[in-house]
Amino acid sequence: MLTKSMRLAYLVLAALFAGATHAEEGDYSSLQTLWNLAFPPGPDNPVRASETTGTYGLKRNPAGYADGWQPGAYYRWQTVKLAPSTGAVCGNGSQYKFFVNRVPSTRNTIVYMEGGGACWDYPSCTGASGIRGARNPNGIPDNYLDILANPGTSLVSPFIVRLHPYNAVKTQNWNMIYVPYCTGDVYSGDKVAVYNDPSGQNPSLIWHHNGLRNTRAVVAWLRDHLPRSTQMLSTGCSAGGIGSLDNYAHLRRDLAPTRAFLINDSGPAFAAPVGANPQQYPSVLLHTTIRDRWGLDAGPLPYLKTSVPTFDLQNLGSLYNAIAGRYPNDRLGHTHFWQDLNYSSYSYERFFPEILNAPDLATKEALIHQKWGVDTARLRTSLNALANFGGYFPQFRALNESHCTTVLDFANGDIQERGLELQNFIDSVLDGQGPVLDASEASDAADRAKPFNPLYYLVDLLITGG
Amino acid sequence: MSPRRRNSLIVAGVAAAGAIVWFVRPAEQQQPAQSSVDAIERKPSQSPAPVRAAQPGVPENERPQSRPTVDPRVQKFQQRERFQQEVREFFARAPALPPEQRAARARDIARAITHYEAEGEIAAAEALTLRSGLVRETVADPVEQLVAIRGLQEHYQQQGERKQAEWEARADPELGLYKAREREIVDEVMAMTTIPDGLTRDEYLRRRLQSAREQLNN
Repeated sequence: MLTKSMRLAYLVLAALFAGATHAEEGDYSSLQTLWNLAFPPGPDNPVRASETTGTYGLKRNPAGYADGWQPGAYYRWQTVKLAPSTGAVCGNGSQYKFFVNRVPSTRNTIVYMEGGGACWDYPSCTGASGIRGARNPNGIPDNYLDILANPGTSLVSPFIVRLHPYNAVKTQNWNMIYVPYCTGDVYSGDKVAVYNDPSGQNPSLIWHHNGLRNTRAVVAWLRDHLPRSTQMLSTGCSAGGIGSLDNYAHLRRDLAPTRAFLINDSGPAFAAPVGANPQQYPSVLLHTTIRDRWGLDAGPLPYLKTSVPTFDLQNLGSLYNAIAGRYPNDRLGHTHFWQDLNYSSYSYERFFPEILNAPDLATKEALIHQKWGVDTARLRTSLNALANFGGYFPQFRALNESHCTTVLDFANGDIQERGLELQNFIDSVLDGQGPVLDASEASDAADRAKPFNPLYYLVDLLITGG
Repeated sequence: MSPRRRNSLIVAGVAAAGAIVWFVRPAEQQQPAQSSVDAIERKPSQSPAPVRAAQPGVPENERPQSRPTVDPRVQKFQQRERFQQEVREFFARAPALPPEQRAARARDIARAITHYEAEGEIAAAEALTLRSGLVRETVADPVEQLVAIRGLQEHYQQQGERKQAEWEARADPELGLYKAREREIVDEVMAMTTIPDGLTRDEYLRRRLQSAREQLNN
């Protein structure tokens, strides 16, 4: 007969034995996981007073601020509100908030930045129809993740769900930070813009391109509420992809994970030296515009350079080399489709008269593809020279204008010529050894020869609101 | 064994005992859980599941009257773990399952998804993705499959639009007050010929507006 004390001893031994096995670096032992259910671990590296100062210091929520956080509410998407004193704000002046989904079993964390276009003038920032603009011009609802808000570039990514029917990735077991997008500045800006209505019929639009300060406030909150990550992935698609790139250095520095990863999905910062010839560097016109409208040269770019000293302030595309060199042991990746027709349209459509005034859609798309090809080829060459920064460039997917390789699923980002799937690239970044995989697809023929995918068709309907 | 390691083990042992004392408490009733779906449909306060680790090898007639049971938080965690395992196994093995068994398990998983949605532990997009996957595994006819998935999308779309409308219908007096003040401040700062404190106009404007938000939020 087993006595109660024997059972207790058995449980102690079982728990201790279980504690010796960890699924992966950063996971808690079984015993610690159980303990965490009752006693959620708090911060072990809170913001120090010295870090709160300076233009982009880590501004904390005031003590006792009702941010909505419940430390023990595991697996729920919790809405965390940031006080105005943190400097955080949405483009329209409403409160900035973000979302946390915590687990008791690991310290590892994914920081996922939401995608959703960009804006730099009155029509694009007001969400006028007929023009590509930015997400959430009216701010972020508290129940944002309940409303299927952004299927094209957000929660349907296998990176940021706990369960996915067909794709497994280790971040599905991690703490998840969903950083929503409401400033139209790819998380990089710091300027209150006043945009006049070109028709003169409406009052000017006051718009807070406040992305960098918002991200800094998120970092401060994470430092003050969660344990330091052992592994951290910074990722996102589109605006969230470039957001994960341009915020990587300060996230990396201030969240201080033991191992850090970056996957920039379809948010390239192409090479574009200031004053360059647009025919040679097609993104230079976009970059010139956003540098001014988002206030990049006044604060954000010099601030970025303090973290990655080799970043060339005259060329946003130098960020890849600068980050790779600054963090040689981090595993970094960039991916997008050669046939992306979304980010490319943002990049060129409104800056090249021959595109804007193209006689037909086919001509317009061909011109956009041509410029995207120039920029992509240069980025590919650049990444090929970086051992710890891989580039993965498949051709085409019949979903979302071939925009974002990692949304919905990891399928059909294959490079048939080399027998590669997108998952190979993701695994190379997150679990690989040695140089990060570089791969590029030369022809889109095999992709276009695939049979009609009804699921993609339906998702496209959802994305377009059809 | 080094003294440091020995001390660590002692500390771990004490912590383990503490954790067990905390989590394991006597209960008068218990029913074994058969699956994550069975478990989640029984409220913890009504009939919690047993501590499985304590049960193996214990004959039924030798179990004490007052048996240990699991803290509801642990029970919920275990249920969640089982649910996740079951979903992963289902999608990995579904094509090999007999159709009736596949359909039955898909129904169970769908019920569990409903439960976790209500608990706020599965967001709308994740639920839609999972339910679409269940349809793909259980509806053979391609047209019926499309219709079913489209129906799911419309359901979540309509639900989302309703929630969005509810959110937008809420009055936000603070934002309304701020927007009025924002316009005044912008007009004032744009008209200034000199900017105080050696600041740029942009930085001065940003500070003034943040200050206005802080005042309204207090």
